[in-house]
Amino acid sequence: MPHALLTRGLARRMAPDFAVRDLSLTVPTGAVYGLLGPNGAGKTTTLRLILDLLRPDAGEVEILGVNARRYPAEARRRIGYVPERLGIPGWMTVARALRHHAVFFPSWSRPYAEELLLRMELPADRRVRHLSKGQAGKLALLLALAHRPSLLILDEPTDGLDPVARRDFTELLLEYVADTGATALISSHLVHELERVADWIGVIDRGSLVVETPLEAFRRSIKRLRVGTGTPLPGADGLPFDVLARVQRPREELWSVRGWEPAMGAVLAERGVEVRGVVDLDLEDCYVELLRGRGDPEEGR
Amino acid sequence: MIREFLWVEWERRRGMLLLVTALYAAVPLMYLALLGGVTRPGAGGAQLVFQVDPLQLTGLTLVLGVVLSAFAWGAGSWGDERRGGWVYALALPIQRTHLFALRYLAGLAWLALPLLALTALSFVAAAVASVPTGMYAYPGSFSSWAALVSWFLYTLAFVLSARFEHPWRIVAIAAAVLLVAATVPGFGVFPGLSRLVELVAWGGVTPLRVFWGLELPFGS
Repeated sequence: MPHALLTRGLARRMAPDFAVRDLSLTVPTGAVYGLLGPNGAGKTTTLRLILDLLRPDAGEVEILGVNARRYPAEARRRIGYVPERLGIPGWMTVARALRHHAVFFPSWSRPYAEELLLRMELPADRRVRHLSKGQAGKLALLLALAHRPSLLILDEPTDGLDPVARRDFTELLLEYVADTGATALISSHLVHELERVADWIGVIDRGSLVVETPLEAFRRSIKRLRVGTGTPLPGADGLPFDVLARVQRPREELWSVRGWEPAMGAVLAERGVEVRGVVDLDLEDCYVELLRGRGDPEEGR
Repeated sequence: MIREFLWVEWERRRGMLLLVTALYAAVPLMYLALLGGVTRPGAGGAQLVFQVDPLQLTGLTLVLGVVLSAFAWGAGSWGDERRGGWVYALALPIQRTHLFALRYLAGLAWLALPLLALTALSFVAAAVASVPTGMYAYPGSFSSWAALVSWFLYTLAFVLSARFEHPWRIVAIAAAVLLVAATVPGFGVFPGLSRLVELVAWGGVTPLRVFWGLELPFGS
């Protein structure tokens, strides 16, 4: 199966001024797919639509070959879901939460759950409401992993965790993915964190998918050009790449561009534009430039 | 799976359930005590309907307690699982309709415990009390009335709490539903509920009318 998760034309109006629109995600099997986007971009809504926690107005969702809109329970059985906030009722102890989850997942592995419990050093008899943030995050991951899912969906899983807890969480996740070949879809606005783990990237903004590409290709495609201003500079029209942003400096401009290839320097030279340097960007810079290039969200309303 | 739902309900709300059971059980006992007022020299049934004494007020309060606790039992079905607009249980691999049905049935099954206590003690009270001339005890009717009212309010609160997060909305909408039900002309399909609405909204009847048959919800 080439794709672990496929959405086509997913849409849901959430408020008069916010909707997820025509969202078509393709998450390749075995990938760690980072869903990036600013706060309020629609990441959590998208994940909830995929999981059928919210009913979409339109669109299809296929999870591991199962039509998730028609058979949501069957699809969820194959997914390990880590929500933004741990949803287990606070009165349950950690051990009770494990027993409760085991009832719903036929593939629940008790020995594996116990192994994870020990490794995560979670207190089995402590009530969920008394867990620290880091412990709650670990419990959420334990509950997501113990039935050995083929697809993990994690919604801002490390938001608010301290660096040590975040590192532990990520290590466990990557270990599971490496051992089982599972696919992971991780939503986050913490770009540096995704950069360490993801091999595919999707950027969502104002409810629409802006980019979906392998991480390296994304990083390669966005560059910053130092452009000489000795001659009148052309507009962005007709250029073989997208100019996301232009910043004036004394005697030069900085162009953030998408779709840049080294051979394109010649095209600019023909137009009398001197490219003085090409600067590689890290993922965060690429992401910021991409979103800047889309303009102020308020402008479009 | 229903066993897990029943067990979770018990573990989660057993304190409240025992309190509700005690409250339900106290109602027939209180009526038994009220009967002492009827048998007092000079006191008659007709007088009692309009008379308000501390015992009657206590009885009224107990019935209100029953009404409110049945409602609260339903309203508490989802409350502690809500996390920012979603309910954790929806993420479990179970059909949404099954989840709702199982959760509803589990809560309803436990509500049978207080109703059983009320029924048993109603019959005990009717058996041991010496009923004044002209009055009749209808423990069966009373228990049926309590069951109907409890089921209706539990269901109403269950549905509302599944839809709305804020308690005040649940209460406000439920109150609106009950008031509309009470004022719709020709309403009489659920006379037990009609009594309840009167009781809650206007205090127009005393509990004695229901329990001791001065006016019966279901006839004899």
